[in-house]
Formats: sequence, C-alpha cells, structure tokens
Amino acid sequence: MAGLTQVIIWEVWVLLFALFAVLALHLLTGQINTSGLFMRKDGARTFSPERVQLLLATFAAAFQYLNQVVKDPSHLPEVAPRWIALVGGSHAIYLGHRFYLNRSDKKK
Amino acid sequence: MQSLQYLEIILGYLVCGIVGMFGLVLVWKMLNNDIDLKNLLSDDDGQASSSRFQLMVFIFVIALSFFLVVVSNVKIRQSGLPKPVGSGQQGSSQPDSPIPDVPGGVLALLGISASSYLVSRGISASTNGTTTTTTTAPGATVTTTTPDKKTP
Repeated sequence: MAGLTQVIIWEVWVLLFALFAVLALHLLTGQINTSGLFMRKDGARTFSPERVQLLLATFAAAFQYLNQVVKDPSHLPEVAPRWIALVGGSHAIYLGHRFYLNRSDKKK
Repeated sequence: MQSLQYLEIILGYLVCGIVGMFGLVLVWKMLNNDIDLKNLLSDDDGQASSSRFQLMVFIFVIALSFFLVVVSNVKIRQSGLPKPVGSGQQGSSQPDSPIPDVPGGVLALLGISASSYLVSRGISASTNGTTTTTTTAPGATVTTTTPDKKTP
C-alpha cells in the first residue's frame, strides 16, 4: 500500500507541475490575455494604482502563507489577523475605487 | 483475505492510472489550445481582470499548501513517528486522518477573494447596462445576466 501512496503522490506532483507550467507558459507567451491588467476600465484607460496595490497585496499574502506552509508542512497554519486586514483593506480600496468610477461614469 | 488485499491494490493502481491519464489529456489539450485559456483572466470587455487574477493566485496557493500538508502527514504516518505538537488536528473528527483541518483565517482569505470577484462582476455588469439576477433553490444557485430594457 505504501507503494501505491507514493505513486499517487508523484502523480499529483506531476499533474500540478504540468498545470502550473502550462499556465505560466501561456501567461508568458501572451496566449492568456493579460492586456489591461493594470489599466482602469473607464474610457481613459489610464494606469491604475489600485489594481497594482491589489496584486501586490495578493502576492505578499500568498507568498507569506506558502512560506509558512513550507517551513512547517505538518498542518495548515492560521492566517494572522493583520494579513486578513491587509488583504481585506486592499480589496476594499480596489472595489471602492471601481464603484466610485462607475458612479462618476453614470453621472456623466 | 490475501486476495482481497491484492485486488484492493490492483484497483488502486487502476484508478490512479485512469485519473492520471485524464489529467494528462487535459494538460495536453491546454498546451495545444484545444482547451482555450485565452479568456481565463478576461472580463466581458476583453480586458484582463485583476479580481480574476487574484482569485486564481489564492486558489492555487491554498490548493498547493493543502497538498503539501497532506503529503507531509502521509509521510509522518508511514514513518510511524508521532505527530508534532500543535499540528492542528485537535478539531478533526478523525485525529489520525492525513486530511488537515482548514483554519478559519484561510476560509476568510478565500471568502474575501471570491467576494471581491463577485462584487467586481456586479460593478462590471451595472456598467455594461446589464442586470444580474441570482436565484437560489435547494441545492442549486442560478445566476443569469440579461441586458437592461432600453426605453424608446
């Protein structure tokens, strides 16, 4: 049974690695559309700091959590409240600004 | 009894092989663009969406973390070593299960991420002049997006 468990573990590793590799390849070669990821969706199509901070907060929280798991993979670690506050605040800024732009566009 | 154990192992390998083949076929189709991922991150307007992107990042990170923990727990069980103190299985219905409990903070993070995506979709829909209606029935939730009626 231990052999079967090892096979399953290797199989999932291979599939996960293949999936990540395909997605990374598609992202890097532009086959997955990333145009406008940092641009506002209003008519001006200007640079959007709120999107950049959202992605920075996302990557920071994701990297911090993954780092915790790699250090001690015996259990899923609890997320510190300050990280939840950071991610929540970042999303609030992003959504608040989108809502504000949406209202401004409608008033025009 | 011995033959039943053999049968169990053979079936295990068979299921493992079938699932692996399905996975490889899916990855192969993605690689060849038979499964089109072009609009994986795109909104209705064809532009990439930050909310979709962050949701994808969080889902991948939590899924990878979950898998790492399961592998670690399986290795601990196979080696026969006692589980480390504070390994987070206190609330589990099966203390020896390799499947870990998901802490509330992780669920909160995923909840924030998914809610942000949904709210963002709602804002996009209202900008594009569409109405999104969500109908919840026992066991199913149906979301329909229809264009607003234009007044003559």
